[in-house]
Amino acid sequence: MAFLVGFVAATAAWEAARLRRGGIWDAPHARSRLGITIIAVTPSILLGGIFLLGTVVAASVYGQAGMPELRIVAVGFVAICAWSLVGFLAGLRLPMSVSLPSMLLAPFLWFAFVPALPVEWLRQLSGMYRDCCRIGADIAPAALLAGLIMNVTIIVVALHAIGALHMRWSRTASTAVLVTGVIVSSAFAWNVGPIPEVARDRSALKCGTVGATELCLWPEHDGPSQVFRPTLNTVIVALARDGLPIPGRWSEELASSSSGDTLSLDMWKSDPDAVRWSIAQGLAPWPACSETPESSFSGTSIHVLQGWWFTAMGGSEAMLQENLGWLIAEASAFGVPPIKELYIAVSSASVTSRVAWLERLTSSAAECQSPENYSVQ
Amino acid sequence: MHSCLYQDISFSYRRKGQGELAVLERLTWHVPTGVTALLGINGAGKSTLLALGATALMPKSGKVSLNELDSRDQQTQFRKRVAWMPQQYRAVPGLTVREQVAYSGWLKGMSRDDSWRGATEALTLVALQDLADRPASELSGGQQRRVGLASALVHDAEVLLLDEPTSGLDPEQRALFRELLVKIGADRTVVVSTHDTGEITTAYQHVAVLHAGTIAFDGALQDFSARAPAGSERPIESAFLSLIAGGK
Repeated sequence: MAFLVGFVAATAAWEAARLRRGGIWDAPHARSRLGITIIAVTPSILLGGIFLLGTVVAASVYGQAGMPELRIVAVGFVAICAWSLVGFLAGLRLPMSVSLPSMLLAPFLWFAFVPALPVEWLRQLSGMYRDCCRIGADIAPAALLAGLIMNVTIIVVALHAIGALHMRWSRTASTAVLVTGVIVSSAFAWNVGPIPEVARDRSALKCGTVGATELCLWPEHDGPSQVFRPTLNTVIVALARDGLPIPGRWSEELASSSSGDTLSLDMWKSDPDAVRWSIAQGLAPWPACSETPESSFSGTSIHVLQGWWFTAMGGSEAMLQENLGWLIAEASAFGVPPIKELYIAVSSASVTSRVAWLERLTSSAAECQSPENYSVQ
Repeated sequence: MHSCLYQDISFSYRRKGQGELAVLERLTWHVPTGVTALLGINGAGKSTLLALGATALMPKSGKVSLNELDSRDQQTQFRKRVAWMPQQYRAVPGLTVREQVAYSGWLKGMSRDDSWRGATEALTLVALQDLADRPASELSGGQQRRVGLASALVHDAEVLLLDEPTSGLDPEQRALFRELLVKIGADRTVVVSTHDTGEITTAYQHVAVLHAGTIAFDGALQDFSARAPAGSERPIESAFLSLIAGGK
């Protein structure tokens, strides 16, 4: 988006510079400046729209997450319109040697830099929604409104600065529109948080049972050609057969909206091994102290548990190496016995011992304590 | 008959640190139908007067009207009926001659189809039809002025305000321009500003002299020539010089 909008703004600036150099802008025409502006920026907007549409089609056909959220695409299109007008304004007011590079740079800063700032509400104003949305989430309506209002404000102010809008109390009205737009937009963005999403309506979940376990997936992950449900079925059957303690409900809904005995699945890659690794991450505990920088808890036991669950599900050696290679290579440095030997020992222990080992490591990790040892009794 | 009227016009430019520089003061001029030469020395305000007639500038006081259409209150309709060729004509980079002229027509409110048709006709009038598909910015200065003239002619305006249209034209093109004036002046109001009295031939029916911020003479070409001292070799120039000398 940052590159696309920059390109659109730069082409609009170039077109405006042509009109300025041709003496068109200040000449007395019967057509309104609004009409001339719209015709002049239409090719830039169309170009941006076609690229945007192409991206949507490509994401729908080749992407893992299905059709992109159309409301986000719509705000993106409004942003393209807004920045084409900003580019046009820059082309009218500045020499081309200044307007072109600045129009390539300014949208980049607005769409790439601002959404990465630590000020959370500021991130949502551009309409970029960089971190939205996981499959179990929808775009937060407040964030959507914030981006939409900000971009409409940019359109109105740019049109006024171009001279295409005649407003009463001209400059004052334009300033009032800008200030009001920024305030209203910021007000909507204020409580959105760093990720502009809300839990998706769970009625769309497709649920079924595998033995005693309920399995719920979003329709996008439940097509006949998808690997998710078959892989999960196999895993659930295998873990239950081994007598391992697994939650009674596995669901793709957001963790924040699930409760009790539910494993929240966060799967994004259509690959059986990646699905197994996601499950392993979900089955291992993730205590609050893991996210506290000053915590003395190393969290190694959590990684040991993730690796073990993954191995127990029949995960591949390559994926284990990819994710836990650092621990496998230098286990002793982290106070852990050689990982593969440990997993073999746990897997070959009796069901009771295996479950006891799991519960011991899980409960100590949940309390942010490292286990005294990793041996299976 | 078109009735173009400058009524009680005053206009001044604001200069930084120098206050206001009055150019026109309470000027009233009823522009006659046909071709009028607007004479004046450099800096007399000829370009300003034409720009006011085209609504490129707005008067400080007074009004410009065309057949009861007020240039300020009915600006869009007024602009559709007036064409203006400024002294500095600039082509839009990247447009061909035909596109440039058609775009001017569109800007004057013509439909896309009409502006294309109008462009072809206007280019034929200024004898540029053979260069119609060349980029306008690649033409010589004289040819570009003819593109500017075609741009002014494209929407078939009732009033044409041409600001020094012959500057930069070679003798052949000037002769062509005079022929064109006769053709287009038959049923239109055409004002051609110039400071070169040698330009004024029988192609012009009227002469107006702008001097000291007002119209110092407005009448038929013959009447203006008759003001020259007897035996003048260049009666227009003599009449002009004696008029502005008398005004000082």
